[in-house]
Amino acid sequence: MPRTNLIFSLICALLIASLAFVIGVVLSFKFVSAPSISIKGWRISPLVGTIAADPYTRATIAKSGLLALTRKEAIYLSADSETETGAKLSENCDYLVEGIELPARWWSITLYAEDDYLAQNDDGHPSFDATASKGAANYRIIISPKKPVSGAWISSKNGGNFRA
Amino acid sequence: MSGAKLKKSHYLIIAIVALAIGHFAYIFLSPYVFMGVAMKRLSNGWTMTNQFIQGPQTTMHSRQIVRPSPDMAYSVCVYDLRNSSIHIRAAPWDDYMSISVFAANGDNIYSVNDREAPNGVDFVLEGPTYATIAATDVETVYSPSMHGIILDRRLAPTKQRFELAKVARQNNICAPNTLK
Repeated sequence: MPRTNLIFSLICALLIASLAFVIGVVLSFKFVSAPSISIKGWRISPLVGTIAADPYTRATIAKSGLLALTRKEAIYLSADSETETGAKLSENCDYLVEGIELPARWWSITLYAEDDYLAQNDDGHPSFDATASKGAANYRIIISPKKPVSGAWISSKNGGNFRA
Repeated sequence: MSGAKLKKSHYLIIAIVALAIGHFAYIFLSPYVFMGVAMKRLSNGWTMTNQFIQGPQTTMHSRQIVRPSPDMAYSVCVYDLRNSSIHIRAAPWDDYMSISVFAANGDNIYSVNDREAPNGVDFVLEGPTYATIAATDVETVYSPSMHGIILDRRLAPTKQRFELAKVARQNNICAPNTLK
């Protein structure tokens, strides 16, 4: 009897350990994020891609930014919520992105769907880049599922809760 | 009989320890897993290593690597340094271009752009065991892993520029090193 009890206890322990291990992996996959700095809703992770990256940054980038360039080549700014309200960006809303010409050799704003790939639409407007701004001092871009009457446009059709 | 049973507190400790192991396993191993998946996809199941493969223009159907830029033309070489070092050459480009080398854990171990190499990129990639002797007259880059990815990015935001990039990239080389 004691041996039976022990075997039963060990089986229970093994099941609990397996379940807890899987939960640990799943929760980490879902919630782990890299240390970042936030500027008006735009987040930046300075150690992206570098050998000096901490394990959390490396794990985050492996999931959502594999093959990212280091700060020597590029800086990635990411936004998934409205600047003023903090609400998640959604294809059900229209947004205005405006700013001044960025002090960079080249820049672009690209819309990615929730799965971190380009949104599944054939509108042909997944991004807006510096060559399209033609050196203007300011830029104004509409993010919307429907093409605006005028102006620069990034299509959010089928983007769900997208990020830019 | 009761002495042979585990107490509730034991189960709790086991659960917490297993949870922590799961968390740290994900943190430390996931970069290798994600890179492994990417290398397998990009080399067509490991059948096309040590050669540049030209990617098509990025569209909504591009789903090999997360967050692709629709404004870039990509070429990729999945490297395998087990048998020899490899020689990489990338043709020059009249706008932004870069060559980046990624190790098996996703670290960007080397990158060079068109301003640093206006006449094109030329280097030898050597493995961590230094099993082969790299040529001395070109730059040698050392990878901490036997496998990884070399990525050629060229700014080509229009169809016309992409077609030009396609032509330029035809002169790229990623092949076993024959330089002595």
